[in-house]
Amino acid sequence: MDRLTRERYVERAVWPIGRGDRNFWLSVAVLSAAVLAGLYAWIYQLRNGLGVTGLNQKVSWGFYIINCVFFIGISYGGAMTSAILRLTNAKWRAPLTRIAEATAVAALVVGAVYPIIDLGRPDRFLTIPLYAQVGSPIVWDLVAISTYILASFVFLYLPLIPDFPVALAALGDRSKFLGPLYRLLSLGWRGTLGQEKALRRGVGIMAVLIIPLAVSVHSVLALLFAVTARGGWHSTIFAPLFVLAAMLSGVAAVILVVGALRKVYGLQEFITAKHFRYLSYLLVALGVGYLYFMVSEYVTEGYLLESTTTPVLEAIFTGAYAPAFWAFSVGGLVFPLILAVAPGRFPIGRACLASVLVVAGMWLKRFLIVVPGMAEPIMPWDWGRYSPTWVEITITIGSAAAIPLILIVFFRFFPVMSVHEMDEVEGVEERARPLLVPGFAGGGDD
Amino acid sequence: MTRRIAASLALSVIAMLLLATLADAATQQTTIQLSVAAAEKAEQGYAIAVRVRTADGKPVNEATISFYEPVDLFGARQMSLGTTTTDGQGQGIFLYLPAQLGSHQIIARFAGRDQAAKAEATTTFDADVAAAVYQPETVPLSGFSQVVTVAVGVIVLAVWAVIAFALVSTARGVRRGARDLGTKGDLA
Repeated sequence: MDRLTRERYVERAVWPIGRGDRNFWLSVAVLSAAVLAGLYAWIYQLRNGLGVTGLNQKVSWGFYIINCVFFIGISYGGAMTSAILRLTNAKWRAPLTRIAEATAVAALVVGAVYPIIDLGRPDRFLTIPLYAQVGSPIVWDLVAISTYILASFVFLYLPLIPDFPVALAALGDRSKFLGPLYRLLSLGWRGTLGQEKALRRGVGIMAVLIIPLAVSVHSVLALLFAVTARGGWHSTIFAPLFVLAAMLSGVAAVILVVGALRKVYGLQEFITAKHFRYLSYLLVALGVGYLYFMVSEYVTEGYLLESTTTPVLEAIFTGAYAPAFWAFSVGGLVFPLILAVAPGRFPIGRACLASVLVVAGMWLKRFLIVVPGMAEPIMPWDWGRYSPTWVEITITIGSAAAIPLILIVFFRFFPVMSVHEMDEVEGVEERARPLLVPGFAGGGDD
Repeated sequence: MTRRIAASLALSVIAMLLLATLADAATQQTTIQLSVAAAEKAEQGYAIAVRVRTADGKPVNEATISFYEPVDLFGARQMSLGTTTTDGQGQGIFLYLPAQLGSHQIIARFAGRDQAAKAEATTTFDADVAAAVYQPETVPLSGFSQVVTVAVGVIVLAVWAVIAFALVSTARGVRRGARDLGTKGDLA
């Protein structure tokens, strides 16, 4: 990368920082309105109890648990994408890792709130750690998710350290308020050999750690279902199935976020069709893997046709839930995978469209796991019924809006693409780098 | 006409009061006698014999007697032990195997019926026989589960330690590296 290209790269990476144009404020207003509507619905639920939702004695898990699994899955995909690309030293990763890591944290924060919403009484949340029963999957979830949150924040922060000076330079005169904070967080970064070495080691450790950690989080989420003796849940294959589903939906979400930010922040020069093609390959590999696991599960269960599983399979394949199942299988899995890698024009548009379908399909799949399994009559009477109310729908929309809101606010303060990483993969000599902030070095070294 | 109605109403009330008084007079006071002895078989605990009679000494048969024991469980309350029904002699037996050794107070209660008023009696006895301590069934692989729990706990702690190490060592390395002058990245 020549000096001029690098300058353009830095310019685009910091372009959103401190920029508050009409489109930004319009986006913030629309997304905030959706988030506030979700908050209002939650407050309404807190005041009136879980009776205002569609949850009932038979189907006690609905949109909230579906969304929890879905959003944490997206987070997993973001973290995995970044970690795998770092560990394999993929040179094309530089413009993507920051977006993937930020998407992971934003989705994780949103997903982790859902178990509290589902409780109905948030004050009772503390009973889980205070009266922990180690044999309960809920406790396993609490430990796994809280550890993963901590690791995700560290994994986002460490690669940001060398970019704080870049962000500070971009803020320029407007850095009076944020300047001291950036200096503190940059830990006095000057790009010395010792600093590079320490950073590379820290990021390497986190990149290695985040993969098994994310696998464990989704495995534990899967165990929450699998260790319950319900039709369609009690499966030995659930943990890897959940992990693959999370990776699939997460990579699709990363493609969508990258596609949107590329357009909004004008990153076309650096995030090209090549990036979308590579991400699409990843998407297809994961999708095929997921399809294999899913077919394997259904064939095994369908061949045995145990009394607890048969009603659920009937309901999914040919009964009340069949439209959702076939919409997911064909429209949310098979078709998008073909669309993503089929030769032809508009690779970026096709990758984004395929990702929209995969994300929507994977949400449907979570619905098909949670609701029919709960609605199946264990005692000899009618099936349970579940119809979400406006409260659950509004909270879902609000939380979905929270992710882009967190991202656009985050990228208003931090570079959207990692400058340091680009220098690293391009092998740019430190001395060749332009001095971004005269006198910045050592600012945080108090 | 009005006077006739009022008079008939007054007569009715008087008649009802009279009948109620007569019925009350027909209900006789009832007494319960309690005695406790060791049951024939040791595992049956104690036989609480109950005898229900009216004031004039007539036995009350088919009387349901409920037994309670005062306990302190989330506050003082009476634990229901069970019931027995008296025979033609007004006698009944209730077998009770206490859960704990020592002094026990037993309350026998009769709810009353047609001509026998409700009654209650209390007795105490010292139990030197009690039910065996409950032993939960041995769960298969329970020992292995404990090992797994400890192992998972150790792994979680190790993961937290690694995260802390990555953060702290990077922070220290970056801060220390900031003092290096004249190195590859000295931009100042």
